[in-house]
Amino acid sequence: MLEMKELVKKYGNFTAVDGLSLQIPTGSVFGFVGPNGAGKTTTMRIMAGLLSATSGSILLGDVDMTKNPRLLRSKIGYMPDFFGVYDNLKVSEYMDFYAGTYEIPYKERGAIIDNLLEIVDLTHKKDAYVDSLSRGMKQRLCLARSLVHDPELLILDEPASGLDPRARVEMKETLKLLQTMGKTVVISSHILPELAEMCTEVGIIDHGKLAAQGTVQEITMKLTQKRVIYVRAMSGLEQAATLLREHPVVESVAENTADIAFSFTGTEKDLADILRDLIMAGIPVVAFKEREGNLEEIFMQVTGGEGV
Amino acid sequence: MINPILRREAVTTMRTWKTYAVLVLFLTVTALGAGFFVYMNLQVNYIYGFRLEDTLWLYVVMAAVQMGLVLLAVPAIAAGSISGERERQTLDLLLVTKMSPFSIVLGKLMSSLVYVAFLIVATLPIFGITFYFGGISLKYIFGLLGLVFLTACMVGAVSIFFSCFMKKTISAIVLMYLVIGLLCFGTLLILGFYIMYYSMKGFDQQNFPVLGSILILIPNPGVAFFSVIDGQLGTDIVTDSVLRLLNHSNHVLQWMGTHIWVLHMVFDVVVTIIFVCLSAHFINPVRKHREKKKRGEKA
Repeated sequence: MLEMKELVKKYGNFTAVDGLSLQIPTGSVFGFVGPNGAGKTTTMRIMAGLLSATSGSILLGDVDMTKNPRLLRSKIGYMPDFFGVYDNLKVSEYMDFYAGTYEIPYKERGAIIDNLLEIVDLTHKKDAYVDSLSRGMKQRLCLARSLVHDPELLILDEPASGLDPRARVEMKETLKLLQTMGKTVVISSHILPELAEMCTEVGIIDHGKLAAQGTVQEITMKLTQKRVIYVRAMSGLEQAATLLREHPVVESVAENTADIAFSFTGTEKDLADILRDLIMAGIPVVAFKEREGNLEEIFMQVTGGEGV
Repeated sequence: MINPILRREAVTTMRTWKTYAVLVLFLTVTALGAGFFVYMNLQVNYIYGFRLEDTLWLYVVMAAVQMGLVLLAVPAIAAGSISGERERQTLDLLLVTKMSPFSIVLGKLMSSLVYVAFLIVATLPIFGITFYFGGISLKYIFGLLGLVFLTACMVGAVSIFFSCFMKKTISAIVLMYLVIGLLCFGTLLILGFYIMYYSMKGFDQQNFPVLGSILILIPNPGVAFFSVIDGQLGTDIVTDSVLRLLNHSNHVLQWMGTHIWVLHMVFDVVVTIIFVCLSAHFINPVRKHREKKKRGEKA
């Protein structure tokens, strides 16, 4: 369990992180979302031991990480939003260098490096120079580097920024693999909606404070207070719309050419009743589906519409 | 386990053409200089007979080239060690590893020295010409090598310290060259003022406060170099021309004056340790901010 308690980071009069408290269970994938300057990177840098907090603590298990930097470094893998690589160094040498910085014995390095390059799908680039790799490959290599000492916690700051769609998909696949390996992952991303399905929990941070925390569904419910349902039928859409408008828990109904979308504030039982009523009315319903929570919309709502 | 930074930089340095270009240039200049010296010497010998002192001067010139190389090349390499990592955006990746800030700085220092040592070792065969003629005590050869090595450590450590602060490598290099200029020429200027001040007060060669002169000159690598040469060749460049210490009654001052190179080596060791520790302190991100925090709280 990773636990942050009243974390504060001040730069003079400016408060970058303002009393942030949250708990991230072991093995979970936690998504950090927030506008630029919200305090995401600052929080992550404190977690990685690259900044000291003005006050508050970060506990990994029973260990206060702010007081044990060396222990912290052995338990954490960090991938920054911007990073560079060394010139004239091959991929295997790059990995060997970082294995050395984590005091991994020479004998064990070969197997570890081969395994990690396989995970990030860079085995074929083992003898290539790191500065000749594409951006997506460098991102994956940096991810492999952050895993070289088998850390408990992975902190990934914007791992998909600047990647093309294909490279994003590849990164997503790798993160899924890490999830199955049981790593606790804290991830911030501008494409968090895309990664939402992978995140067991999401935290929305704004002005250094935690605006909301929970699963995507919980946050959607908590913040929007209403659910949007799509109904598709083979015929009788007009009749279905009339029926829905008469229903007491339905707030609004929008008729599209192929389906109907309605918002409602009721319970699960109300939803089941609505479906039953439609079918009892003889409408040939082929789809009755709740719209997935749109993190971007929620995020805009929570942060008052500031840009991502 | 070899310091990972030293290991990595040894690999990357040997992969660039610049390394070999500098090596070829350095060897060519040294070999041509030595060849010309020997050729001229043989011509003169043909007329006036063989003179041992001349080969000793070849040795002095070669040793001066090594010292000059240390003073010019080490800042150019070491002053970019931390700022270069920052410019390349690799410093954070290094600071999150298990390497302590101290071993990072030590790795950087060793990497900077290894390349210069590589150049010096490469010139040893040319240097060997002087040994062929003999006349140089082994004590002073090791003394000179020790002096060059420790001066390189000192220059490297201070360069890395500047590299921790300066955003750009070029600024750190310029600042380090200024410091070297201050050590080599600034101390002589200060000594000039010092002598002038006490001469005006009526002190003569017999009662002049020489200790002050010695203390002013200890940080000067050039003076330390000539101090070793004095010992090797039996000349009095430092003791007589600069310190006017000949026939001074105080034996301790006599010893200090004739062994400024030893005192300079002690100075090098102390400065190296201080600046390596300071650099390690300042690249430690957590400690740095803790200090800021304390200052903020006091305010």
